[in-house]
Amino acid sequence: MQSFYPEKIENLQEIIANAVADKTALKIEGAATLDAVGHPVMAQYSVNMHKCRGIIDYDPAELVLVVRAGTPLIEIEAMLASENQFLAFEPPHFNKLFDNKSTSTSQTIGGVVGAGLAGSRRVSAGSARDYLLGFTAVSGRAEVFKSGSRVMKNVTGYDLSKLMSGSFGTLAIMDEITLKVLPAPEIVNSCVIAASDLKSAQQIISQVFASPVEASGGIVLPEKSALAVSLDIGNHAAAAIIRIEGIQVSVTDRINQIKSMMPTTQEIHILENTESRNLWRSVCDCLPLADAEQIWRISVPPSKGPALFDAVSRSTEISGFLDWAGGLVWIAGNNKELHQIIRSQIAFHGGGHATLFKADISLRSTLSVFQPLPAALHALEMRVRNAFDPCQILNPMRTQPSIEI
Amino acid sequence: MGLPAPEEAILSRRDDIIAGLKSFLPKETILDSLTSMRAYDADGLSSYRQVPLAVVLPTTIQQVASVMKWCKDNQVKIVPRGAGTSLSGGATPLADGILLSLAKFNQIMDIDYENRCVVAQPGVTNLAITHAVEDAGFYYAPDPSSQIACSIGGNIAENSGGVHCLKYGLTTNNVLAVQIVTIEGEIIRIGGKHLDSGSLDLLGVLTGSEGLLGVVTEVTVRILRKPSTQRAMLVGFESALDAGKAVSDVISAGIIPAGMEMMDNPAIRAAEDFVNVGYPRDAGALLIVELDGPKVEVDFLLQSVEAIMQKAGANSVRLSQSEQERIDFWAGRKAAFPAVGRISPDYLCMDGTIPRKALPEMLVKMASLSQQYGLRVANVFHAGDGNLHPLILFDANVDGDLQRAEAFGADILRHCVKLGGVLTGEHGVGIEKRDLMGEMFNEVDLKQQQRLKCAFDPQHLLNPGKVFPQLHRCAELGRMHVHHGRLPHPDLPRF
Repeated sequence: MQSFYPEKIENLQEIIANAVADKTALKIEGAATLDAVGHPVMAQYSVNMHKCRGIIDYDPAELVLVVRAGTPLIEIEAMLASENQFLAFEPPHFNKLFDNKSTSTSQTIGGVVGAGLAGSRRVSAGSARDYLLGFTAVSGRAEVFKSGSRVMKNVTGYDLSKLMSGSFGTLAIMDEITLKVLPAPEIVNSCVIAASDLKSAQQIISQVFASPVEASGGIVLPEKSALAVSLDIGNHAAAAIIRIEGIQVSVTDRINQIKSMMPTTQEIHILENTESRNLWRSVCDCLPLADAEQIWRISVPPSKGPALFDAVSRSTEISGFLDWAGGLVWIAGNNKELHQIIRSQIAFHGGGHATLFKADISLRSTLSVFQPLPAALHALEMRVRNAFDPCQILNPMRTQPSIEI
Repeated sequence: MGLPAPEEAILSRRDDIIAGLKSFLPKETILDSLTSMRAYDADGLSSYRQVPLAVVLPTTIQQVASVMKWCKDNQVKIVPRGAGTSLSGGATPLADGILLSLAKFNQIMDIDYENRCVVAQPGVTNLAITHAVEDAGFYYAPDPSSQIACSIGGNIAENSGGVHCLKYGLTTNNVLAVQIVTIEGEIIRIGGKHLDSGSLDLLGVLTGSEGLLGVVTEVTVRILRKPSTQRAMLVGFESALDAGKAVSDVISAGIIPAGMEMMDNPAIRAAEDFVNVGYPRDAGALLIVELDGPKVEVDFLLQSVEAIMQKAGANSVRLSQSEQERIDFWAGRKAAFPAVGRISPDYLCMDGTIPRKALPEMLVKMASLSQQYGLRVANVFHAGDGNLHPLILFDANVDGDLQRAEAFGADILRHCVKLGGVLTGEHGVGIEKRDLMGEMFNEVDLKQQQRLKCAFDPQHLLNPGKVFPQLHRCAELGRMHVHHGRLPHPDLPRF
């Protein structure tokens, strides 16, 4: 496949205009880290965004960052860290998940926002969608348009930022991206609480989230996943890990509150700063499953996570873990029927959304990668797509949903 | 500003339209006498009044679906209405359209503490959600000033904010799912009790769509555990410029208060005269800073904030010593609009947002505009996020005063955009700011937004006359014009 390397938004517009005129499809890529997420894209050309990079404006006092889509995530994170700020949605770095020999860390901000990703802080701080204040993009109609702004609070016109985040470049190619940033926590500690099974581990997290402790994350690691990130949980089947962040005096106080909530016999192991930060980094990046070939990322009501995981594991051998206080279930397995088992368990547990997040190209060509939609919602979504990219030029089919049967 | 001219062809069919609606709706769900419809002739933008063609108050989702489908089949426009508290005319009726009130959908359907969410019908008030869960120690975070009256369905339509947005976000950051009825009469559920719904984030774009895309018939919102401690600080400054500097210093120090509000001297005086809670009447500006969280954290951060305030030149600093005192600190701010209502026969409330650092320039501009128009202005700001609420004082009984006030308001909003801000931070565009949309967006931007509208409502039957200064026909918007410079050898990758 031949590639375009646009440098300016005018170049992008020209590329798309030509693609529209020639009826050729374009594959859009940043660092191509997430290339294997979604249905395979059949395109004649690729548009590589890595020359559309650079910080346009960063104003720490205003909590606003304006960058070009091709800017490497690590560059942004380093710059924010120098001002004690961060991207509160905790973007995962999936380089190792998709290529475990990878030494590259070049994932772009456009890719992160375009894929609508968020790490463990999703449950307390929101996702990329919640931090995208505005953007400038070129639509599949080859028109340059903008939406949103550089201010925190804005309801002027439709909030197209929400549509862009998570659309995997299928509506428009973003060039300029405006994000809200926040002060980074000074201390990041964790409570590791062993449990006899996933359900009781999730209930511990649920209890903490229903208290005024303000945890920023809660994960449930079954023994195997704990081992994969070198976390010793003794002979227990699972562990609940709860992250407490903030200023020292507050973190200490809140960890004491968690201790007082637990039975006195309950052992609580505290992970401090570096150890704690490393664990959350590994979990956000899905490293417990880095060697797996087929991985599902499943969003369900938090209380349903353990039951869903257990039900699937009774049908076939899987590994995985729960994030988002139980609401994000990661499952890896090799069973050819895994998709059917997962989808039927989602339906049984009252709904949710399962994405085949990592799989070889043949599986992604034959299965519905995203959760099938009810017919009316599917039709509406197709009309919305058509409003941005009527000729299906941009990443065609990549996120195409199927209709629920 | 104004509503589109009604279509005579529709007005002349009024009796048939009402008979048509009565053919499938229970008669108590339709109001069609002038007297009964008077109560619905305006929302919170009360300078604009219009009796609708008829008022429909359905009681079931099926009825909503039938009304939508019937109206589509019969080319009748629909204006959806929650509690009618919109300050931008989002629910201002149309003479040639029906007003669809969701007021009877007032039940909380499900409280799910395990998953920390509440499922409510759209007519439930914002505050009723908090009331339903507060015994268990929870609350619903977005708190618009009208929370006692405004409905959660209306909050979705307007993406309502409040004084705690800086830390807890707007409606859009706190909603998990909606059920909508489309203009086709289809009932569609978007989202659920889970966080990510995958596919396109239609939930995100429906939130704040001002009733132009669909009618919300059910809402699922996240609830949060109440913080264990909340304390507020009242800080008086010589000038709004000093106060604005202090606000920036707090955020630069890495502190995100739960709320950070500013009032200027006219607003302070009006509020203090109204509620007598001990605001410093002579201060040029007043800040209310609220911190919440564990007690040790709140106490620690209050010390830091106090030091920042002193350094920024505060004239007076008071810390709330009890929950009652904290509530009193807020009482004046929350009553600012009615308080200003006491000192002026009428007022217009504006809602622009600016980057915080542009506040000094904005204040200078506002003072000069105030002189130019000969109208007083009192200022209430959500200082933490740069959202301004200038209240322009006027007297509707004075000929031309309303028009002058509107022109003054428009100039303020134009200046907000000029300073890198926006026309509306939380009140919505409605009819009020519709004609100013071109200040912020160019024709291509607006057309792209309208294409989204076309995906939901291709005949522009839902809330027409709101948000967009000019409606283009969807067929025209869908046409492709490819005339950009074709490359001589389009096959050759370049750049």
